[in-house]
Amino acid sequence: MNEPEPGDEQLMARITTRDEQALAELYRRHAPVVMGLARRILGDQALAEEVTQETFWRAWNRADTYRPASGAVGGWLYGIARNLAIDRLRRGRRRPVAVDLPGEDRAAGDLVDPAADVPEIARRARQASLVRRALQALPPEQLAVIELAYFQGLTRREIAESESLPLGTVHTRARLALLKLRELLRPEDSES
Amino acid sequence: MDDHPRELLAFYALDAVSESERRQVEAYLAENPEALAELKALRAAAHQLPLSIEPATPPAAVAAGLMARIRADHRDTAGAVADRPEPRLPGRRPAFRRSWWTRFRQGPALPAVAGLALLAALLLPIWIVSLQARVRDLTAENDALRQQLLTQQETVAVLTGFDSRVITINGTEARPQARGELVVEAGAGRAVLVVTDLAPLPGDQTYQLWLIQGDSPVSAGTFQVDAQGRGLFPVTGAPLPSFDAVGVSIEPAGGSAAPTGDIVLLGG
Repeated sequence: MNEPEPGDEQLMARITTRDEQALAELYRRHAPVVMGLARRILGDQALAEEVTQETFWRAWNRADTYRPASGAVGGWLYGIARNLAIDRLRRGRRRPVAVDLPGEDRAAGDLVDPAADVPEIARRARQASLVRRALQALPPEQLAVIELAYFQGLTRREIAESESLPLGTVHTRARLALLKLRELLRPEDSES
Repeated sequence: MDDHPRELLAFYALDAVSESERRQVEAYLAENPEALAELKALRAAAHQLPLSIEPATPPAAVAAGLMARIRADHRDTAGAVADRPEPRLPGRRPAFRRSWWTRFRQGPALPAVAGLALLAALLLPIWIVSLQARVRDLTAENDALRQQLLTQQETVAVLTGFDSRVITINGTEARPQARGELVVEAGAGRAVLVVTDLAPLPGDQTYQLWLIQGDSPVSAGTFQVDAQGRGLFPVTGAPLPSFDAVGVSIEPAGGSAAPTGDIVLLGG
């Protein structure tokens, strides 16, 4: 058995000492999800590439702001990526076509990484499939709020207006959706 | 009440709240720790959302560009660049620029990189790839070569800077077809000028870039264009003075203290 690989938190600690190899490893682990998320939000390959690069640039420069108590490194990265992508989206550079979950997000020209870790990829694909099934199991009106808030960056007031709903209903649907999702995915929590 | 902080917990977990809403929720949580358990559950679910998407391997240029920025940043913090005096030597024409254009002409068709300055986007992808190759090839402590590479890395950093501001500058009556963009890096005050369709000048003349505040133009250096009328000019001597307009004029070789010749590009 090989030496255990450094965990994400160890990588972050090394990045604060300007260890480029640690950043490269963090990138290898998380760039595909970051890229997928950015592309899902922006609906544009080139913009998604920019957001991906910027996400890791910020990780490099702000590694000291990451707090393990707030959650996993991956979640921290995806939060940065989502904020960048939503910002760009809202600045009007691109309007995505509404995607019905579960979407087939892999584009025909997607690269296959020759250095890919096949078991890792398989695990991720299974995870993605599980989460998508759980989302599909949500009542459609709850799923819609999640889609609008998380993937399209609408504020709760914008959602209320576009869906012609009272604000309280928007809040309730978001809450119920997340609690239901949590319940459906509970055995997979070891991922977080 | 629709806006009670407790109502906002789900949106807070989704990171879909404004700054002031965030502060309200955090203040509420500080006073009501029993709500933390619910927040934890909501967050656990929200964190699964990015995982619902098929991961997509980014192209190699993304990583290459990232590492280029990091290395440019490294050299900055090592003081190698920051302490350079303003090297606006009149008529200086660094050799690397000619060889860089050669690579550009020989390169494959360039994909558009949306979101970057339009002109810079045309020039950037080949440069990043060739930059990586040069970093690998660099073995000897060749100071001139390192200086050139450094300037290329800086330029990449500015052009790929996500918050870089792009100022479009247009041809005047003297050169109506000319186009330019001044890409200004947020904060650090470095900038790169990109021009197209600006005709090469005879040897006794040069183009000069001016940063104009009110009525006062300040020289930001002289530059040349290639035979196709393209120029890429890193503006040295950071930080930039503040300015509200940008201009390019034709000056005698060596540049002038103030614009004397035709103004060919103007914007702001």
